[in-house]
Amino acid sequence: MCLAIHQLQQFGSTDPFDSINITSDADQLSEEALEAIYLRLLTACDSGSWDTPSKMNKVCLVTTGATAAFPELVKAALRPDSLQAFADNGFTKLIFQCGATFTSFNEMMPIDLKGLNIEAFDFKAAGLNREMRECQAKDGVSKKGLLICHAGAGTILDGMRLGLSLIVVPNETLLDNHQRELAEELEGQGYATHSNTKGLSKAIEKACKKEDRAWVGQNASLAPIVDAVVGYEDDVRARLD
Amino acid sequence: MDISPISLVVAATLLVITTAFLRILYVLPFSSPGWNIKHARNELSHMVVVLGSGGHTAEMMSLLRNIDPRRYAHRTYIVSSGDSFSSGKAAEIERNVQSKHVQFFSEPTKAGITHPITGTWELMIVPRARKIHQPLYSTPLSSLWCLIGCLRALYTISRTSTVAPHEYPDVIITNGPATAVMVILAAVILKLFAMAPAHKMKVIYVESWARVKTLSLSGKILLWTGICDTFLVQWESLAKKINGTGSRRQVDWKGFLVE
Repeated sequence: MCLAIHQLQQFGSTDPFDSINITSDADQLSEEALEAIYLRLLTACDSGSWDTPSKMNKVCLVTTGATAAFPELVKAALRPDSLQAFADNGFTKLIFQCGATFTSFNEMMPIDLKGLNIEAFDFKAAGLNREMRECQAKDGVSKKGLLICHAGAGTILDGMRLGLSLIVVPNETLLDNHQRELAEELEGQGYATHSNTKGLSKAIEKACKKEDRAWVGQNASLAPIVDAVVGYEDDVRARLD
Repeated sequence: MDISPISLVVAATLLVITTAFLRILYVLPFSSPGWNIKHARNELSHMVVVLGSGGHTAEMMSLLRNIDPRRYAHRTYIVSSGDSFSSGKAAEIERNVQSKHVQFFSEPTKAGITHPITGTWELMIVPRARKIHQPLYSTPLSSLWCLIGCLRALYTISRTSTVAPHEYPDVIITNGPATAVMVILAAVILKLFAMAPAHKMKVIYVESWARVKTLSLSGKILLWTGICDTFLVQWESLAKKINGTGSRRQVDWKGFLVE
């Protein structure tokens, strides 16, 4: 019973059920309250919302990388149409790693946040591992979130390794265009969604609807190639047989 | 018959050029695929990994994830001076490599310490080929200094090899920092002058995963000189573009090698 009450506490605050004062000891609850809990449980189970409570976290991490500033990406993600796309797709929180752009972040903040929680910082010395994990799907806590990043290979690989939905926005102001080629190819092969800063809101819709191709476990290994080059032929043959 | 000094010089030069040419043909991988010597399953090997700058080093960590430290019992990581990031990463790569083969693993062994299962590893530091913002005119000099550093490094690790003392490493693996070109050049020079046998120091180059349609500068240099034994790219489109329709395969593609 206590567990059920705990589960129910996770439902939204708009729920009329919240008006009942919940205590941890079920014996102290009035009969009316117990009946209300029972009814609420029934409807929750029937509507299927028992497995996916409506107020689960859904986090999006926007990262510009450490090397070059990318204010256009931060601005694009804070545009009203992007925020609307986040809200429409059930996001609860946005985290911004904005590098040098952090100094002007407050000026970019829009007035209407569409109910989204926003967190921002410039760099994390320890890397973005913790933030990326916040975007992962966790039973009963969070739904699968989203990573919006510049086309840095390291960040993309980290995101794919954790199985996050991915939008890659190459920094067009940089001279080297091999990042755009990477983004295009990743989209072409179904690993990520390629976008520019203008089309970000559409890309958010798209990325939330489609299921990215799985990355982990599909890849070749360098070790047998090294073995073959060095001359451990027995092993290679044994593996082929 | 009189032999003029000029014709003598010309003859000597021709002889030297021919010899050098034949020697290059003999040593370099594209002409001598027969240099593969066989290793028995339980023989130990010495591996050299060239690390450099953030992205390359992070990718290398993933590339080496399945390397068996029981077989590659001596692992040398070469980094350029001042690259403390990569020096730190070498220990992290080792943690990754060793942890899969040691029961109740807690910490990787320190550099230079020999473990009964996972062997030993070490860090070699070579001078930088070009510092950031270094003027262009002094680059040849610093590159030469780096090359000498690489020659010395390879010589030192051959002497101290725990797998086979006084033998050069079996394989050099890299994915493209500028230092890597110098290390590979040093290895080829050692082979050309018969300091090292041609079957040692096989070169494996893995182009960065970020390169989809074009090679990096290091990749271009190494492909053009043809001094790599195995040249891998990670995108099929790039492999197709380089290999074209010709029968001679210049690069290999085996799928994504990072994870």
